[in-house]
Amino acid sequence: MADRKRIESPASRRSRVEAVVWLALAIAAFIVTFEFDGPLPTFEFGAAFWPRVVIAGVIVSAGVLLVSSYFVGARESEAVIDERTTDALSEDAARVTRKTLAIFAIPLVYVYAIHQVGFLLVTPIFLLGYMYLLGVRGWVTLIAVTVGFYGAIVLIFVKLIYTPLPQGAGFFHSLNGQLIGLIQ
Amino acid sequence: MENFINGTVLLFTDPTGIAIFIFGLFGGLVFGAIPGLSLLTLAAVLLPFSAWLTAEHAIMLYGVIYVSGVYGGAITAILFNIPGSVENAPTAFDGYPMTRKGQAGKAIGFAVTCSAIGGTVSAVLMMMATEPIADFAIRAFGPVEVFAVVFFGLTVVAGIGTRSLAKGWLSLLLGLFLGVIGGDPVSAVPRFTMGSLYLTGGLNFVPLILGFFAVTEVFVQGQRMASGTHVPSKVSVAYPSFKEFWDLRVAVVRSTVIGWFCGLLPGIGATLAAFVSYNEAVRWSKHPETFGHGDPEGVVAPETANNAATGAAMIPLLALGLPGGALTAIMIGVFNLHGMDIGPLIMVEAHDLVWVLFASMFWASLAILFLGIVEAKGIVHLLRIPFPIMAPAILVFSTIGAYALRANILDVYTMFGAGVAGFFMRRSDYSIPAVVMGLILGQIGENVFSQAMVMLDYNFLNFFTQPISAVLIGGGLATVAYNIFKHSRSYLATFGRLDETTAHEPGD
Repeated sequence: MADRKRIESPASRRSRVEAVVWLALAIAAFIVTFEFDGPLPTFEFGAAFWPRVVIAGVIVSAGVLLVSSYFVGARESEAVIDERTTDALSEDAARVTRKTLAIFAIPLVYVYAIHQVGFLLVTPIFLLGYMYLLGVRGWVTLIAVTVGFYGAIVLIFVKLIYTPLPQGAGFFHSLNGQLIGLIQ
Repeated sequence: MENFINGTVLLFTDPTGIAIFIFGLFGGLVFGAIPGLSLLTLAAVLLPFSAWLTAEHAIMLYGVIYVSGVYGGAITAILFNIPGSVENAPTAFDGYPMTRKGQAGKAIGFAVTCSAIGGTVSAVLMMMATEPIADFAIRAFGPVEVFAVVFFGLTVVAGIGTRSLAKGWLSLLLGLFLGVIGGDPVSAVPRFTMGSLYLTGGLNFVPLILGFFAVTEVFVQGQRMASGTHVPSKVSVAYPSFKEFWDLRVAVVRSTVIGWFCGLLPGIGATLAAFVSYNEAVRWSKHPETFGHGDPEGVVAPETANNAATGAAMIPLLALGLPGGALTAIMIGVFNLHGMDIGPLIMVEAHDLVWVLFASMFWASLAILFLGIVEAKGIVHLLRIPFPIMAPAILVFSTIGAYALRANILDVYTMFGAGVAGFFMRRSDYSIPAVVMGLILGQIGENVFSQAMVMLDYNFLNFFTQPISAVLIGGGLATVAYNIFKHSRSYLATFGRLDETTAHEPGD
């Protein structure tokens, strides 16, 4: 009986949910292909042929995943997961905390901020904040690494090879433009 | 031989030539290694300066940059899961897991030695056979054969980096689907663009690769830090032994051949070489399940192949004037800057110059070996930098790399989107390597498929009327059938054992 219970593990339930999501997405994508399924003058299969082959593959694979999810629990019980080398995370490592959410959210806020305020102004704050979030507490380390790394980036990308970097919007766009002009 | 010696003498009897050689070697390594700095950046920045150099020095500089840069991208792929360029992406599939297992020195040792072997053999073949082989390759490999190569490669991808065949296929198909977004390759009809101008141009694979590899890795390790399960990579400078190299001799030979022939194909050389070579390593391995988890052959195969492609890419360039990629296209510009038109007559009109290029690429490949052995002992110490310090640096480098491509902030959003998706996919045992392979090979595949079908009168059976495509398509179908059979047997065996256990359990 114990083995039967293992078949109904969270992993197999998750696989079933995933299979249903894949099927729903594939059906939605298939419907969208009717927007561009006319024949082309130089290619009679049309622009929808290749995507439909891919979508058909998704439907078949999701079906197989759905059926095989009844076996997943058993297979996982046999496998030894090495955290350092496998892509799958154990349940412990997959636990979501406030800190985990911050690890995801701060880079996304950073991208929005460089879009609005500009790369040069936001990056030092991000470097400092993300290191602090991940556990660096020595202020000397925080400041030295931020200044050193930021300085190297500005020197290489702005001063030496003129790499385009986000300049922000409105007032910040002109401010960043002036800063870049000064550095170059 | 006399031509080669003359080319070498022209290179190394002049201190300026030696200085430019060394500059090109280090420049290629650095620019190839750091995302945001690519070989193309360096080549483009140096183009105006090359007008001030002699023709020999200018051509030699670009030859050396090309060879060393293709290797350079392997370093960050192995140490930090950040491929320096697309052709180094398969190196990360097993190189980074080797680093996590404390085998970074070995991984870099394999990469550097095999890059040098691939590059050197390729340079020798380039010197021996430029004209006849270019002619054969261009005639024998049309869209039908290239599609067959892509199909053959895709059929093994689903088994890499996951224990579930269904999830492997779904990962591969997701990559293929991402490659479909944007204009179709024949008439640029918009597909799945939802009215977005950004999506009409298609998703560029550089932000996606940076997202799926670098950003996902930061999120995965960050979450492990937050949950107290983070294990830092062990620092090891152990270089692979001769026996370990000898055990992989077949893979090196196979990858050199694959890399060399792929390198001959204009436009897709080194990238296709690396991916196809990795796939073949999986296909021919006795333990394909170890790929994606730190198998040294997974480093050896793509690194041998992408460097083997560098010399081969020169053949259509010099013999026919067909560039194999953006960098070789810039090399045409360098020839033009010095008053020469590249094409079949170049071997006659600029004979010495061509041999300077051949010699420089040969010596650059050998120099990589010596430089790399020193580097393997030193650069792995970067792993001593704690993850909390490396993580924001990786994200900032990736941001620059994604944005610098087209100066479009949406590429950065795409990169982080791929990073988040990659995190959840890894958590559920989907295969990131399969997604990336699907994306890259799918874009190449659809393009040549549409050309192939026109040539084959829209009849799929005609793929079997051409010998090369018949063998490759047949081999691909056999691989799919074998994988399905193998996994079905495994599932049924597990189910059978469970039934037995349940049947014999008392009290049930």
